[in-house]
Amino acid sequence: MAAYHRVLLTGLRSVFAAHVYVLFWRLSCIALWPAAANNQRRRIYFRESLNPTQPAAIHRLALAITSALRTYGVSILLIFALPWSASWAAADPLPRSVLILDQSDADSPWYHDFSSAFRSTLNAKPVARVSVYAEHLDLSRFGGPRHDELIRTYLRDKFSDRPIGVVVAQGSAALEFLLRSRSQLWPQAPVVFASIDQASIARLPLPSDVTGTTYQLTFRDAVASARMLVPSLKRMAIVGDPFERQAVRSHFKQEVPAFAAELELIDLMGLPMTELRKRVAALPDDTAIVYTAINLDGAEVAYIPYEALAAVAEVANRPIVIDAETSIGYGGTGGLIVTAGPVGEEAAKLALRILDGEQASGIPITAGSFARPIFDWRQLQRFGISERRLPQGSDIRFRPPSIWEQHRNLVLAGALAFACQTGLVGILLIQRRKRQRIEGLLKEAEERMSFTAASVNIGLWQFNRETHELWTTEHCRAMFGLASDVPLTRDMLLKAIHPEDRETAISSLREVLSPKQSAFADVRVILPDDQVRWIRIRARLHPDDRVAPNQVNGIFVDLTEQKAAEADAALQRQQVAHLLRVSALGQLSGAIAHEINQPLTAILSNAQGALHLLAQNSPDLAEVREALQDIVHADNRAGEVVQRLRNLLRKGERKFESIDINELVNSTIALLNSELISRRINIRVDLATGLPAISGDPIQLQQVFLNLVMNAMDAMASTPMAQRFITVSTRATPAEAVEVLVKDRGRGIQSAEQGKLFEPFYTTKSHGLGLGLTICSTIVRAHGGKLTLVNDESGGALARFSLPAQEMLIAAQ
Amino acid sequence: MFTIFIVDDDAAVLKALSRLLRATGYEVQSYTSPQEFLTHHDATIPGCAVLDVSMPGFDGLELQQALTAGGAHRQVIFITGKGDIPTSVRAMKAGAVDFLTKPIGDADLLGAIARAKEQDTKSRQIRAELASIQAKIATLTPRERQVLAHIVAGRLNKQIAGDLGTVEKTIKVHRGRVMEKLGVRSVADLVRIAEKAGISR
Repeated sequence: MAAYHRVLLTGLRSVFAAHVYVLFWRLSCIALWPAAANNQRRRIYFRESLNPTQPAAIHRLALAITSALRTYGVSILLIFALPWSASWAAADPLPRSVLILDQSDADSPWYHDFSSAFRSTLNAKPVARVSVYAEHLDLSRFGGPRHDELIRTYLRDKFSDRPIGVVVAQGSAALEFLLRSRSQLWPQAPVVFASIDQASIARLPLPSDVTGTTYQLTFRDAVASARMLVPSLKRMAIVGDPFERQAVRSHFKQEVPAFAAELELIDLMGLPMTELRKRVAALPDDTAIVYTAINLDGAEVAYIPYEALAAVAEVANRPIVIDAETSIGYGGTGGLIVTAGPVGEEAAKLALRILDGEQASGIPITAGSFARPIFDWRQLQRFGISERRLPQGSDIRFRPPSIWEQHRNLVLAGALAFACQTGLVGILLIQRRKRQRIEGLLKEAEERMSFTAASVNIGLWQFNRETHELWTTEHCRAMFGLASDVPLTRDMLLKAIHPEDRETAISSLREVLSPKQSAFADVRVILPDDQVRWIRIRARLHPDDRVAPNQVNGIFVDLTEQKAAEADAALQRQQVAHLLRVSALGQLSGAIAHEINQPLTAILSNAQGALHLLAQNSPDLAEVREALQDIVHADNRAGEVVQRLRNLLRKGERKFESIDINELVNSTIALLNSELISRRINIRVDLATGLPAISGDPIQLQQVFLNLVMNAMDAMASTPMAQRFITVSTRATPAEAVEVLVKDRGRGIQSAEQGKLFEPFYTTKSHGLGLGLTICSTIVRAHGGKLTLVNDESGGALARFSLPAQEMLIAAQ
Repeated sequence: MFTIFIVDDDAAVLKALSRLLRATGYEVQSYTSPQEFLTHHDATIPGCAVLDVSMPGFDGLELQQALTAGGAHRQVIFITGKGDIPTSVRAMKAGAVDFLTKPIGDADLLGAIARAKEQDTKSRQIRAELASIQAKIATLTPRERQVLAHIVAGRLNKQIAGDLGTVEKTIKVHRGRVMEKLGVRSVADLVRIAEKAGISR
C-alpha cells in the first residue's frame, strides 16, 4: 500500500517537474540570450526574432536555437535528463554516507586538511549525520590494470553491505580510477570530484552525475605573488620540473609568453640540483624565484617537491614564490596558494546538496577560486619584506606567537599590576611632591614665625610634661644668655632663671590646665654679665590632648624694657603724686601750722601754769602733775601731726600694709580741721563700724582722700556759709569692698566737664594743675579699686572710691 | 572777783589756759563753743573774755559782736593760731584789749588781762558814776531839767527866764534846787555832771 502510494506520488512529481522544465526552457530562451551581451550575433537574431512578419525570422530563430543548443547543450541535456534523475532520486533517497577515494596515501598533508574541512562542513549541523569513509589509493606510486582490479575487489568486498550515497574523488587519479571502475562498484552513486584542476577535467569524459569544483593554478597568480614580495619586480627565476612534466601547471607554457614583455624570465627548470643551488644563490636584485615543483631534477634524482624546495630555499638569495600549500614551511616565502581546506569545504557542500536530494547532474561543474595569500613569516623576515606590503587578509604563518597570544592572562595581569604600580608610584610621587611642598611651606612658615618672634624678642617653646623634653627656638638662647654650645634644655633654662623665681617658673609649667586660658609668670633671668632681664613665661596646654598629651606650648617674652618703662612710669607717677601732695600741703600750710600750734599752745600754757602753781607757797602738786600729763598729751598730738606731714611729704615706693579706712579718714580730717574752720565749712563724718581691713599704701590712700576733700572744699567756695557741708562716710559694699564717699554741696559736675575730669591736665580751678584726680584714679586702680565722681541727687558732687577688702585682695592675688 | 571767760574749741588749749590763769589767781570760766558762752554769760561779773578767733560755726570776732550787740561791756582778748593782720585790725577796731598769737606766753596773757582788768574797773567806775548822776537827774522835775539844760548851755538866769516865760527870781529858785538835788556847789561841777549824763548844751 505504501509502495503504491510512493509510486503514485513520484509519478505526479514527475509530471509536475516536466511541466516546470518546459516552462523554464521557454523562459531561458528569452532570458539568457539578451544576457549574453557580448555576443553581437545572437543579439541580432534575437531582435529579428521579435519581428514575425519577416519571412526569414523563423529560419533565424531556428538558427538561434541551434546556436543556443551548441552553447548550452550540456545544460539543456541536463535539464532534459533531470526529470529522470529526479524521479530516480525521488524513488530511492540516497543513503547518508560518503566515501572519499583519495589518490594519495594517508599521510598526505593536503588530504589531512581536505578531510578535516570536508568532515566538519558535512556534519556542521548535528541532525541527519552523514557517515564518511575514506580510502587511500596511493595512485602516485601504484597503478596498472592489475592494481585497479585489486582495489576494485577490495572496495567491492569492503563496502558490500555499506551503501554509499556519494563518492568523492580526491585528485584526478582517483577520479580517473573511479570513472574506470564505477560501473563495477557504485554505478548509481553520484560522484563529486575535488582537487582537480580545470585542464584535467577538460580532458576527461564525465558522465552527467559527476560534478565538482575545479581549481586552477595560473602563472598570472605566480607573477602577482612575485610582485607582492618584490614590488620593483623585473625578473623572475622559474624553478621546477619542465612545465610539460607538471600536470597541474602544464598550461603555464601557454601563459608565460604573455609576461615576457614586462618581465625578464630566467629559466632554471630541469637543472640538476647542484647547478640549481648555485644559480639561485646568485640572482640579481629585483628578482623573485617561482618554485613550481621538482619531482625529478636534471640529474634524474627524485625528490619530494618540498624537499627540493628546502634544498633550493636554503641557498636562495631571493624570495621564493610558491603556489602549493604543501610547499609552505619548507623555505618558500609565499604567494597566492591553493589550500586544501576550502577545497574540502566546497566538496562537502556539493555532496550535501546531492545527499539532500539535488540531482548531481543538475549541479554544473564550476571553477573555484581557492587561492589565498599565504606567507611564511620566517622567510619574510629573512628577505626583509614588510607585512604591510602584503595584501590585506594575508595568512602569515610561522609567526612565533607573541607573548600576548601565548600568555594573554599573564600579560594582562602583568600589565594590570604594572598599571597599578605605575598609578601607585604616580600617586606616591604626587603625594611626595605635595608633602615636599607642604614641608617647604611649613618650613617657610616656621622660619617666618621664628624670625617674627625673634624680631619682637619672643622665644617660642614646647614642653612635654611627661618626658620633660623641651623644644625652643634658637632665639631663646639669646634671651636666656646661654652660650652656643650649651644644650637648650629645661634644666639649662631653669639654671639661668633667678633662684627666687625658679619655683614660679616650674609651677607655671606644671599648673597649666586649660588649653584655652594661658597662664603666665614673670621671672628674672640672670645673664652671664649679671644683667637682669625680665622674662614672661606664657603657657597653655596643647589644644588637642590626643595629639600631644601633656604638652605645654608657650612663649617667652622679654619684658625687661616694659618693666623698665613701667618702673619709670611708676616712679614718675610717684613723683607727680608726691608733688601733688606737697602742693596740697602747701595750700594747707596755714591750717597745718594751726594744727601744730594748738598743742604747742596747750603745752606752753600748761607749763607756765605749772610754774605758777609751783611758785605758790603751797603748790597744788596734783594740778601740776595733771598739767604735765596734759603737756605729754599735747606733745604727742603735735608729734602726730608732724608725723602725718612727714608721711605726706615723703617720697618713696609704694608700701602695702593693712589699713583701717576709718582711721585713715579721721587722721586726714584732723589735718584739714583748721582749714575747714577757716573756710567756714562744716564736715560731717559718718563712719561705718566693723569694716574689713584693706591692704594698701596709707600715704597714697590718704592723698586720695585728702584730694577729694579739698576738691569738695574748693567746690563750695561760692556756696552760702550756712550750706557749706561736707559729708564723709565709709561703708562696706556687697562686693566685699570698702567704700569711701565724699559729698559736697557745691555746684556739682557741669555737663561740659563730664568725662574729662579724670583726664590729665584738665581742671576747673584757677590754681589747679589738672593732675589730682588723674593721680587719684591711678592710685585707686593700683589698689584694685575704682574711683568715680558723680552728681548727687540732692545737689553737689559725690566722689566715691572703693577698695577691695584685704581677704578679697589676697584671694585675687 | 575778776573772772576770765575763756572760749576755745580746742579742749587741750582751753584746759591749759584755764590752768595757767587759775594758777595766777584768776577766777576762770571756760567754754568750748561760743554758743555755750553766750548762753551762760553774765555781764555783771567783772572780768574779761579770752576768745579764740577760729572756731567752727562762730568765730571770735562774731562772738565779740554778739556780746556788744547784747549790750554787755566785756573786755576781750583774742587769741589765734594764725595771727593775720586783717583779722587783728578788725579785732582791735572792735575794741579788743589785745590780739595774741598762739602759743601765748604767760607774760603777754597776764599783761593783757591786767590791762583788761584795769579797763574793766575803770569802765565800771564810770558807769557807776554815771548811774548815780542819772539817778540824781531822775529826781529833777521837768522844769528843773529844762533849767539845767539852759544852765549847761551857759545862759544867764535872765535869759533863761525870758526863754521860759518866767521871772529871774523863779529861775534862781530852780537853779538852787537843781544844784542841791545834784549835790554840786558850783556851776562848773554842774556842767561836768550834765556832760557825763549826756545832757547837751
